[in-house]
Amino acid sequence: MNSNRFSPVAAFSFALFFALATPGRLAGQDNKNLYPRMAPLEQYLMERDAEIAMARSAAPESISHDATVLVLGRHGYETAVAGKNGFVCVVERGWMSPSDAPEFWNPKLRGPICFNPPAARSVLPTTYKRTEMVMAGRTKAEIIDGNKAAFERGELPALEPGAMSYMMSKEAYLTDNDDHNLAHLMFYTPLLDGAVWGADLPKSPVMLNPQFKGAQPIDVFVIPVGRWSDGTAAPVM
Amino acid sequence: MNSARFAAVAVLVFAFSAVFFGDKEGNAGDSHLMFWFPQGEHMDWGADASDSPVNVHQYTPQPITEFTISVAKWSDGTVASAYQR
Repeated sequence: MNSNRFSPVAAFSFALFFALATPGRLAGQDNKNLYPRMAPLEQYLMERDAEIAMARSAAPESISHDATVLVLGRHGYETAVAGKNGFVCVVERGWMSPSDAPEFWNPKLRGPICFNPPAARSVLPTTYKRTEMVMAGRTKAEIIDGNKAAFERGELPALEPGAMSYMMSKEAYLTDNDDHNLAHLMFYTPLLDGAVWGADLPKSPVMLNPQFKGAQPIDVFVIPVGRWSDGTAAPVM
Repeated sequence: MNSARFAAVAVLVFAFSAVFFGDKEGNAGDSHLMFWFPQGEHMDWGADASDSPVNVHQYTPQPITEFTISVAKWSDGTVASAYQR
């Protein structure tokens, strides 16, 4: 893994905090044991209008304005706004991180994300599935196993080519560490050797993150961008 | 496992996607990555939308769709001009 990734600025991608939280590599506090289990559900919920606005902030307004917007309710995600461009924007919670992510149950995490149409059809169903299991009171291990089993039974769709998402929200809270955030795009592929994309090499802007490790054969390539969704400058890593 | 469906996706991705890193000497004057897909895929990456870091170009006569993504640094690690504050 590229050691440059572990600078303070680099430590804040929702999709990456698993990799960055490897013991000995954290720039900030050791949060490994701070969130051993799910917190009370109320701590993961948001005021509806605030959640809609945060979800939309994941992508430029030119994209998110006509997107479908989901909000998290007591029984899972529900459609708050019906869109018309095929994009779907949602605020993901910590349980969409890898199984060994130390902040899997961190109730403060808010990961605004806008899925493009192929990702909305083939990646977002995993968000629904995991959230369904969270609402049913499953443990982290049960959620990851349930994710894997659901895919193997064909209950989750195969990954579509061209699946990608925007995570450019200035309002995101992706980790407890340092600045909490990073503007980036994510690209979903079948399992690949990261070298195919030059990922994690010195000065490469591409990072490979095993977000679905152990649960589903999807790799996530993360590309930081230098702008927030409103067009203002974001920290450059 | 949905191996047949999964393999079909994998073939498409391996066969038709590629990535290229820009450098300071690039003609576009902007550090960026490029991805290529067959035009028949009709993929929507939010390209060319206002404030989107993604742009799209359709090749002719080759049936290739090219996406470019602006990134904040040159290949030597220095901050690209468009991102200097």
